[in-house]
Parts: sequence; structure tokens; C-alpha cells
Amino acid sequence: MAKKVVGSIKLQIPAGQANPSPPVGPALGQHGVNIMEFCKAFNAKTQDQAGMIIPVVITVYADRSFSFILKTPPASVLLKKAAGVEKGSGVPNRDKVGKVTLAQVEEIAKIKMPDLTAATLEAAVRTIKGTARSMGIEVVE
Amino acid sequence: MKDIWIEVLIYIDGGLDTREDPNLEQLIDIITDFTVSHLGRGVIVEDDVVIKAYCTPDEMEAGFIEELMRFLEELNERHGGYLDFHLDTRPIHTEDWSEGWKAHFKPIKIGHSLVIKPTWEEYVPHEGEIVVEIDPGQAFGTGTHATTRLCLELLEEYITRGDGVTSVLDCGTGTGILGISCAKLGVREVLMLDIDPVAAEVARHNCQLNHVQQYCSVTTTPIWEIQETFDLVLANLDKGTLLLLAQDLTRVISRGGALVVSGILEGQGEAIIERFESLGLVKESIRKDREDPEWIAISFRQNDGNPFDSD
Repeated sequence: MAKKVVGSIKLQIPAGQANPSPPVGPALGQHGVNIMEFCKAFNAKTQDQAGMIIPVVITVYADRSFSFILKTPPASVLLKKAAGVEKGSGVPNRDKVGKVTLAQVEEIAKIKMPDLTAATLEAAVRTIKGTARSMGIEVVE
Repeated sequence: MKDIWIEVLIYIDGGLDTREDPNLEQLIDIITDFTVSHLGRGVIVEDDVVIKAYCTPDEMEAGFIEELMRFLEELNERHGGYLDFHLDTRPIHTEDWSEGWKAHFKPIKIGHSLVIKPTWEEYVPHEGEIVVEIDPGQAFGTGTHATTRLCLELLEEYITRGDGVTSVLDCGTGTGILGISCAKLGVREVLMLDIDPVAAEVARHNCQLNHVQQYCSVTTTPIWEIQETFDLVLANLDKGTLLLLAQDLTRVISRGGALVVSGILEGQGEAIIERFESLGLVKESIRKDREDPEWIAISFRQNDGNPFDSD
């Protein structure tokens, strides 16, 4: 018999760096999940993606066991990597921090497609371009 | 522990269709990126329209909230001013969340004789059972995780089958559960190592709870500074750390001694075996957890003498 689901938690945390402090602690603790067990499992599965932020959806069951699925890294993180910058711009309208090519944007859109609500690759590209603009990263041909 | 954190709730509104609008995904990504870049830690995303970030009182004092507000105003401008961000902050305490899971941590029997019992639970042992009391605090190792279970099963087998195990090194001891179990099974020289001082303190406390402090030493000394060798070396870590420490883990095994490594997913086993065999160890077994088979433990034997011995 399938286990009864009592909660679902969405987190975005740096790969390989989950620890019992926030946000992991408060997110899981309130559901009665063993925080350290999640940290061990998450870190084991993401340690090869150092430097990425990984969205994770955790399902909590009635017996307080849990399962989780990892999503693709956020577009913002992939864009920063492609542009070779550490941070997006605090004032993206005024200060540009870097550039990416349209080809790079298309590559990122392909990576992100499984997790985006965009129906087509073109729509995904538009979304990624929007993210780039909001971070002060210019898209060039 | 009385740590105080500031929970920063960022509400996103502005008529977005929360489940479908790609703009919302984009906004969540960008705001998350800002908080991770500034604070070095992640966020919770609730109901797709609330982001919870966490800062320390010092980070708040240093102006994180003001910077975040400026950033959100900029972001709103970019989106034509139709978004409505609302910020709220509230203090939270570590104990607000760190105790909740304890209600679900019950005594658990592992292997032939070991029973892992949380300090707050009552348990009357049956004949032949050895009870190990654990107060986990903020450290890893309660016996409920597959990797700990696997290590406990294997260490019990090594110690009780007459291999003559008289000394154990538990590398990355966490709560001390593995090292303490060895002492409870009769090993009289157990070194428990964790470079995290919080974990080391928890391990010391658990040694006292189990009255094994005369047999167990807890240290934060890194393994590369350990000079002694041990009949059994335990390392419940992760693939990356095991590969990094492989040479030192091999160096501290006595002649004819054994190494048990865990914290490994099934697909990672091959790389681990290859690395330790290249250092002269011989694989003895691969054990898969019965309840959670994606996790494995691997044991190795030092058959031909330790290549790192000088004599």
C-alpha cells in the first residue's frame, strides 16, 4: 500500500552543502523529518554539482520518512556560469554585469525545459532571456 | 542550543497565475539567486508565492534587508511596476524546529544484538541485546539511516566473529554511534574523530551516557595527523570525502585489518572500490541496505601489509 503523504516541501539549496541550519532545519523540522538524514542524502546526490543551487521537492510521509526529487539548477545560476560572473546585478536596469550569447541561452533553455512550464523551446528561450535581463546580463547574438 | 535566526518572508503578488506563469518561476529564481549570493544559504519556496530566506541578526544589522528591498524595487521596475512584493521578518529559534523529529525516533534493533535507543525513550532489553543510548543533538547518526545501519551490521560482524579486533577508528563519528557500539561490543581502544567541534561534543556526551568514556577518545584532529593504526577503520562519510581521504584511511589500517566505508550510493561504488584497491586493499564485501537499497557499504581487507608502513 502506498504511504500516506502528509506534506511537500520545496527548497533551493547549494549543491553538496545541506546542513541542519536554515533553511533545511526549519523546513524539515516542522514536519518531523530527521534533518541530518536528509542532509546526508542530498549532499551525496549533489556533491558533483558544486557551485550550483539545486531545487529539491521533498515529500513527507505519515511515518515521517521522506523521499525527494532534484530539479535542474535555476536559470539564474546557469546564466551566471555561462557569463562567468559571481553575482547578478543589484540594479539590473543600470549596471550590466556580463554577457551571454543567444546560443548559450538556447543551451540553458534546453537544460531547463523539463522543469519549465514553457510549452516550446522558443517560449523557454524567452523566459531565460527575461531572467538574464533581470540579472543585468545582456544577451548578444 | 539558543541560536536566533531572522526569517525573511518575501511575498510575491501582482496578479500572476501562480502555477502557470513562467514569470513567477523566473522571479523565484532571481530572488533566490540574490539571497544565496548574499547569504550563502538557500531558501524555502512555499505555495509558489512566498520565499523564505534566513539571515543571522548580524547579517540583518549589516543591512541585508535594506539591500533586498532595493533589489526588489528594481526588479519591480523591470516588470513595469505591476508586481507587489511584501516583506515580513520574524525571529525564530533553533529549538523551534530541531526537536520535532525526535517524537518519531524510536528504539531500533540492528544486526544480531545492537539496539539503538534515543535517550528520551524507555526500553527494556531482551536477553543478549546491547543497548546504545543516543542523544543526537545536531550531529548525524541515529541508526535510522541506511548508511549507519549498514556500518553497524558490519562492525558487529567484524568484532564478534573472532577477528581479534582490539582497536577501532571511527572517522566522521557524528553522534558517536559507531564508535560507542564498538566499545559496547567489547573493543577497548576506540578513537572517534570528527572535525566538526559540535559533533565531537555530542559524541563525548553520548560516550558518557553509555559509560564508555574510559574506552573511547573523541578528537577533532584531522585523519592526516593520526599516527596510530587500527584493526578496524570505519568511515561513514560520502563519496567525495572518501576519495579525498582514501590514502589516509588506508594508512591507518593495521596489518591484516579491515576498512568499512559507507555513505555511498550504489552508482558510486565502482569509483570507491577502484580507488581503495589501487591503494592495495582487497574488497571483502558490498552490502546493500534492505530497506533503502540505493545505499551501500563496502568492506576492504589489508591483506598484504600496509604499503604506508615504514617497516
